[in-house]
Amino acid sequence: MKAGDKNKKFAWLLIVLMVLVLMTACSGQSGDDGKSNEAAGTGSAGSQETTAAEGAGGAGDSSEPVELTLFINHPWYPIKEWTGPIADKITEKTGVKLKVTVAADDKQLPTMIASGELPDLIFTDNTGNNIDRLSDPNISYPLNELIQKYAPDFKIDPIRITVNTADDGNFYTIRDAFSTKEEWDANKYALGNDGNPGIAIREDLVQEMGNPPLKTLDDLVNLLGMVKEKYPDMVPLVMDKNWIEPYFMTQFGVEGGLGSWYETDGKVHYGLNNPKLLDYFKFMNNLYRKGYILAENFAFANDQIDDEYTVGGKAFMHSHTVSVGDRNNIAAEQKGLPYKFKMIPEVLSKDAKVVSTGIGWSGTFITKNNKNPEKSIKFLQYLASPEGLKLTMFGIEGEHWTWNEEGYPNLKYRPADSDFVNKNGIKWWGLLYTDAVTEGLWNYVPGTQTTQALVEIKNITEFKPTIGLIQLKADSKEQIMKTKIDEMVKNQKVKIYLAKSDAELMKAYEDMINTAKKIGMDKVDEYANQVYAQKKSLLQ
Amino acid sequence: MARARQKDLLFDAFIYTILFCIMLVMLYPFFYVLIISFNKGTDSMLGDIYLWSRSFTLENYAMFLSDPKWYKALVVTVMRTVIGTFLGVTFTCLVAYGLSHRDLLFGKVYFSVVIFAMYFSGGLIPYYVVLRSIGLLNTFGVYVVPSMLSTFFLLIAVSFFREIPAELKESAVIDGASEFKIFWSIVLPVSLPLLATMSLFLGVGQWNSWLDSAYFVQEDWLRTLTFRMIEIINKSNIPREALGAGATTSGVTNYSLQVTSMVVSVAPIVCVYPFLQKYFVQGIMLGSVKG
Repeated sequence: MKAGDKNKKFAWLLIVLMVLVLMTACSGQSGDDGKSNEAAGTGSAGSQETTAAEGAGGAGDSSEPVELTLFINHPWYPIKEWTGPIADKITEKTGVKLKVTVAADDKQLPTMIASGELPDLIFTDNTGNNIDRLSDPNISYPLNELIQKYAPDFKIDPIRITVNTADDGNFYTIRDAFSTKEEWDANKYALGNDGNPGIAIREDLVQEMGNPPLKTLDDLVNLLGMVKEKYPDMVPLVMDKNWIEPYFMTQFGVEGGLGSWYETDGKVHYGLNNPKLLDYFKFMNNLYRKGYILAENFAFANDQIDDEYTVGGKAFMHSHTVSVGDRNNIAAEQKGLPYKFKMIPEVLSKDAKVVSTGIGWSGTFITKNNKNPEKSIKFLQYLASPEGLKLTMFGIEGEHWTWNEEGYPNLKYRPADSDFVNKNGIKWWGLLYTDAVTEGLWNYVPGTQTTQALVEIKNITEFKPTIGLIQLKADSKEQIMKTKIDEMVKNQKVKIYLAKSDAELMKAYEDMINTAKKIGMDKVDEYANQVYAQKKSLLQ
Repeated sequence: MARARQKDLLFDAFIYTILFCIMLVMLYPFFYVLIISFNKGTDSMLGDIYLWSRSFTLENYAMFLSDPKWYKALVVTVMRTVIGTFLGVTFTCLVAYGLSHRDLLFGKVYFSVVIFAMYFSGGLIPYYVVLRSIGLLNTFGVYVVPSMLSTFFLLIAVSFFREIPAELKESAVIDGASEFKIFWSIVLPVSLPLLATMSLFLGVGQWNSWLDSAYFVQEDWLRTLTFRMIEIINKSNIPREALGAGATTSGVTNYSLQVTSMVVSVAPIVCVYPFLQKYFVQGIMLGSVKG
């Protein structure tokens, strides 16, 4: 080995190293690990020069808004930039700007939590137990502490606090999409959202058949029979793959569906135990055996196939959400189709019942990495104020809506016009902190079929948020059992729907119940009742 | 004799028929996606489109590319593909050349490390923490530095370089060439099939990679094309409950957008692949057969 060779090697090594260093150093800001642990509560961030012109026209306590990072754990979130009139107004009122990142998938947040690389604010629902994970004093600030310290005049309804209280007695977020029974009762125009089932039918064909009555489930079955006979090429009923069960379960009084709990005599039971469930299965199986629904409907690969059938004129009745009639009509109009759709009643039986066990959907967390907890809690306080709620959910008063003395906003745009809504940032920033009633008022558009359906549903709705508080602990043996049961039911119930005879149906049904018991359904119920008793005492 | 030829013909016809069927099965999904992407989304919902677009439109592409973000993302993606592929091929070959020397001190140890790293990875979270601690998060480097050494190709390259006749190297040593000179002027030029194969694989990997852009980068200007596509696909999966009674105001539907994004992401690779395929077959085989 000559010395020259050695030098050459060394030189090359150096070059490679330098290239590497350059590569990592290039591009904006690197290595800033985001943890500026400055003493919480100092108004303006970092090194802004406060010029001598203090107090000249500056709104609030600092002339420059603070920029906080927000991670939205919903990959589908339609808006990603803090722009538009609503965002500007919020910044003007709170002195907070947001720099938004929307999750790319559901693993991103757990990775961030595990590595401690957290933004200032996180907005998430409890899919994957993320709310439970973030409700941890090492990860997030308890809101009760921040309120006590920085915003003692921020008043939150005690029931709302209770349903959001974690095991350690603190609450770390307030979920949106929740209102107390009193709030619902006080706002008759507040309705549910599109997460409710509905069925639309072809208006022209109903007229051709002489407008047969449609007031009971028997009427519905007769109508499907007439369709089958008169229009043999059509599928009488097509169902969206995610909305096969809710409408008919509601009619039979199967509250909460299969994977949740229902209450009788002060005790809760897992949905599979519901004695009305068998009647529901028999009804659905009857529809299948008469040829009113397709076998492949239970295996649709995506949620567009039912729309293709319906708008393509191959199906008579379309089961989906409450907006299905309005939505199909818009689609038909766009294509210049000669027919229209109308909703059927939401209630076709005296047993029909909806039990709302919702405790909210998504909430905002203030993480321990937050560079300005004071501004953050005041930001949430503004969103929670009557002014903030209306601004974020309806838009700018006068420009986007005016208040109707009856008690709801007259919107100057269609809430269904998602282009307009997204461009202005209406609703989406509001979801960071809002309530079900305000969201419901936004959905109240007199004269639409959707509104009519939601009114009918509200009339048969009972509120039991305590049931929604029954949460199984992540990775506990009860949760593992429940997951196994739900997985088994997913496969077994299709056998029941598609049974070829009554005997086969009964056997499949009994198999399902017995297997669930073997897996440990009774133990899960026992645990649920313990939690239920505990939460009930809290709410009282 | 004649009968034998007839048998051959029959056999050939049978084989070709099967191959043709397989080709159809492979290509039709691509073709279908292509025609749907040029068809009005609301019209596609009516179904019954099999061979060509019924209601031709460019609005899916117009909507898809209406945002200037796409051009920035394209630039970043092209840069990462070119730089990442170049660095990956160069660095992997350098390491492989060193390891291909049978008399390398501690060669077995290095190999064990490489094999171990190929089969066992720490998982996403440790990887994330490592990237953070070496300051790669939120930089362009995160796209190209971690992929500089491909263990799979390292093994292929080692066995490839070992196949090169030792006489070639010996004569160069006698002529006074340094190790690096030998590598650069003799070994690399005779390894074109290997380089082409590696470039293709690493290039496709770079082009399609989206996870690093999603997890390790927050700066908007560093986002890649594939990440923007994931964004579009995610956005079109908005749950109805969150949307309210939303309806599309144009002829573009979620599905037509998703299909369009598939076409955009696959097209460049489909264009490049035929030109590299001959190298690719050769490259994978070379070094695996003892002559």
